[in-house]
Amino acid sequence: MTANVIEVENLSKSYKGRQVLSSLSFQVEKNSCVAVLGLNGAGKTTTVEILEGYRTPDSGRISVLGEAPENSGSNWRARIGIVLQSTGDLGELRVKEAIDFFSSLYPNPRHTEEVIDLVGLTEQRKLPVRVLSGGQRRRVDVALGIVGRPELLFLDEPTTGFDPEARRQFWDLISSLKQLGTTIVLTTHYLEEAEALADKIVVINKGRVITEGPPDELGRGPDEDCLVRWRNDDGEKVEIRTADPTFLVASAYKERGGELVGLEVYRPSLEDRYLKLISEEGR
Amino acid sequence: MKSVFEVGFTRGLLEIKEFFRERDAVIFTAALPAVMLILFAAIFHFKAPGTNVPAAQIYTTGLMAGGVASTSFVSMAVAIAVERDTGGLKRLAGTPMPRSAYFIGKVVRVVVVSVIEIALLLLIGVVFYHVKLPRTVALWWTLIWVTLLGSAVMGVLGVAISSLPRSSRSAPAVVNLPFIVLEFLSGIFIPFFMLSKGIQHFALLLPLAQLAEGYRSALLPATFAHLEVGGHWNHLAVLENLLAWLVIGFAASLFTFSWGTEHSRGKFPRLRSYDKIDQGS
Repeated sequence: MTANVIEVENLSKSYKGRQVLSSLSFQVEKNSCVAVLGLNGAGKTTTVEILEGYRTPDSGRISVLGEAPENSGSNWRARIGIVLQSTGDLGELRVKEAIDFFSSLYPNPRHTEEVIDLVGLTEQRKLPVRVLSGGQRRRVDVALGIVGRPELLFLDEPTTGFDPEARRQFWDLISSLKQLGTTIVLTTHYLEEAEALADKIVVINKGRVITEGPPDELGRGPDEDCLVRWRNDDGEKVEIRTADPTFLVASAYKERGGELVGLEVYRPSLEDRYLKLISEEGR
Repeated sequence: MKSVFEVGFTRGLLEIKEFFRERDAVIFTAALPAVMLILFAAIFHFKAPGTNVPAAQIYTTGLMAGGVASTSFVSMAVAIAVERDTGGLKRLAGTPMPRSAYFIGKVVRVVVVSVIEIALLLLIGVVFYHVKLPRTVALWWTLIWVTLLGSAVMGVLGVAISSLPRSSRSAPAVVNLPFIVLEFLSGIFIPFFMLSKGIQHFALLLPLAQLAEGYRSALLPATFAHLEVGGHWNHLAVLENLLAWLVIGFAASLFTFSWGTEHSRGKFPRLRSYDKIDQGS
């Protein structure tokens, strides 16, 4: 058994002559959280759906939990959990009923009550899913994804439509799942979400992995531009972009002979770096 | 982990719960055949030639068959199209649930709802139109197996046709045309004996006409039998026909059914377009 839960090598896929994925490769280590980022149409969902066994690749080698998803059976399915993009299928079922049913499909499920507490729906457990808010419904989706005690959990844009508080709570939930030993693959459009949750980010553009790495290293180079800002004696803002912020601040301090009022130094945020990476690639 | 049948049965109960919670849908689904029966009975007052059987009683049996078909064939096809559109099928396909458990669940739901529909129509027939309940155990047995087998057949055919509509929005339109043609051919709206012999012989190849004959045999007096093709009620033909359609429907479902994922696309050409899921990001 390798330490990688997912191994993807040279994955290619086209629909009706349109190339969607071309030689895409990456790995997901056991007990890590990997965020797959990319613009709409970059190939994220196709990639994840191939890993989930919903789609067949044209070529390439894939191993998910040691098996090829397309040939896998219910034993393999029992080891993974899937939270799809928004669904609307549960309507009249109550939260507890839905979780009870899905738990009956797995060989070693979590207790319904435990799952309800974990996703924070204790007060809503007897309500029909229909009357829940968008964020609460999403928690039901997550509950159904984790009730089978999956070793590997796929989350496809899990927090779309959440308010900031709900998003924070959701992040806490994912962190606690990770502590319980779950490997997580996440797609998202929220960079701060990837930053908060992921050990590794994989950026996909035009069906290829253009870069991958830990969130705080992604897209950083020795020559990255920092933004340095302070106010001069007239109270006007001075803003300078430089690859050598320490040198700049030191010389400005020497020149002025005293404190730089309102000094701020920004390294490029993950979002800045991500957008730069993608624009360098060309869309 | 439970067996396929346990899971299927649990799922069926869950679907029944869901169905009954949509009260407006329940009331109108149940009311449609009942209201049509009342209308036909109010409009037509003839008696079947050579018998004392009034039109209202003939329509009771016909709409029982039509009612089974609408609660199973039509509602199943539409419900599955909705489940496919909302992502429910894909969610299930991502679990270790045995695929057949889903279909067992559908059959459980369809049979329960059809039995309720039959009970309602029978009640109306007995109370208002002097339909006589079966007088022998054998005739009760006929009523029961015709209902169970008929709803299973219609349900399975509904599953088979559910992949034809492109979306849940178009599903009722796509399903209703073949359904209404089938009802006319099968003597639901116009008593079967009034149709031309050619149409009768053709229609008896289809399941709905046989289902309707099954109900006539269980509920109408023996004097009515001379109006049937061959001059008698042919239970063996009803049974053979329904069993054959059960097999056909099941095989067709395996071929056509789509879970909304690439792997499970049916092998038949279809109207359904997959462009939507192919545009995934």
